[in-house]
Amino acid sequence: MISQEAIIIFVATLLVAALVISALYTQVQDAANRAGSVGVQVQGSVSKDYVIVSVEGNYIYVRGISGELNVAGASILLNGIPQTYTYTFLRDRGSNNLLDPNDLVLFQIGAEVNDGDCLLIDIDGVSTPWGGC
Amino acid sequence: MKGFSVAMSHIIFFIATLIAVAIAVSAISVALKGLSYSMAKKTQVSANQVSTVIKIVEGDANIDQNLLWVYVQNLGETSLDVNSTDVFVNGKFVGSCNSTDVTCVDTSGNYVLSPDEIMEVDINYPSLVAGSYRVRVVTQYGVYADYTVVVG
Repeated sequence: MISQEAIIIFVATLLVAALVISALYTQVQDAANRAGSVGVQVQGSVSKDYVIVSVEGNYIYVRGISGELNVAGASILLNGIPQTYTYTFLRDRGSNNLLDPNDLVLFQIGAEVNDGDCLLIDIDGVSTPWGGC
Repeated sequence: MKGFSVAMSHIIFFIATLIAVAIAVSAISVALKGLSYSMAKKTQVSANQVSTVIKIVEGDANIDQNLLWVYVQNLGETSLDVNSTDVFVNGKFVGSCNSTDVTCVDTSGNYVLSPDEIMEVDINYPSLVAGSYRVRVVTQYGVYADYTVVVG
């Protein structure tokens, strides 16, 4: 026969543990989310990074720095307006259509980018601003 | 006998609680390890970018040969892979070092641009005419330098 006292202690202990773990987990998730915006992903323990190396007219050149980024789902905003785009790998060392370190990809967007414009690119969850953002 | 069963139930609950907490802590620990590793890699990348500084110290052109050239000096603390260097003219990609249209020669000739070393970058630019040409040299870490060559 299990005593009522034991059940109360058990439930209380579980509640306290759940509260502590929940608080810890929230902090870890918060740290992960903050890290994600600067190119760090927790899943798979990888750091993803790229650099916009040249912007001319409606051409945008992006170079991979670390990790592997899926270019296909990229989003490009010019002064807050979403842009349709096509992309071409000028160098794809893994031949995998992913932006690896040293890979170079050319995005062609519908509008021209001028001085002072704010260009915001998001590739695989990693955001990079360019220009007057 | 009753006292024994109460003690046993306490022990069972205690062990169950320990197991539940251990599973949860283990999950958090894995997430933290991943984050720690990723942050370490990101720090390394950032350190390389901050430590990399290049400057184009001189440039010129030869219209007859359709040739632009610049001299790039490594003013940073990182050693740079010459063949991982990209060249742009007027914002458009021309090629990587030692590809069809771009030839790069570092003074030591070992394809590594060491700190303080200088590299000559020759750019084959068809139909070169009088005007200004913005040359951008981009290193493997994405750090770049610009120079305007005025032709004619």
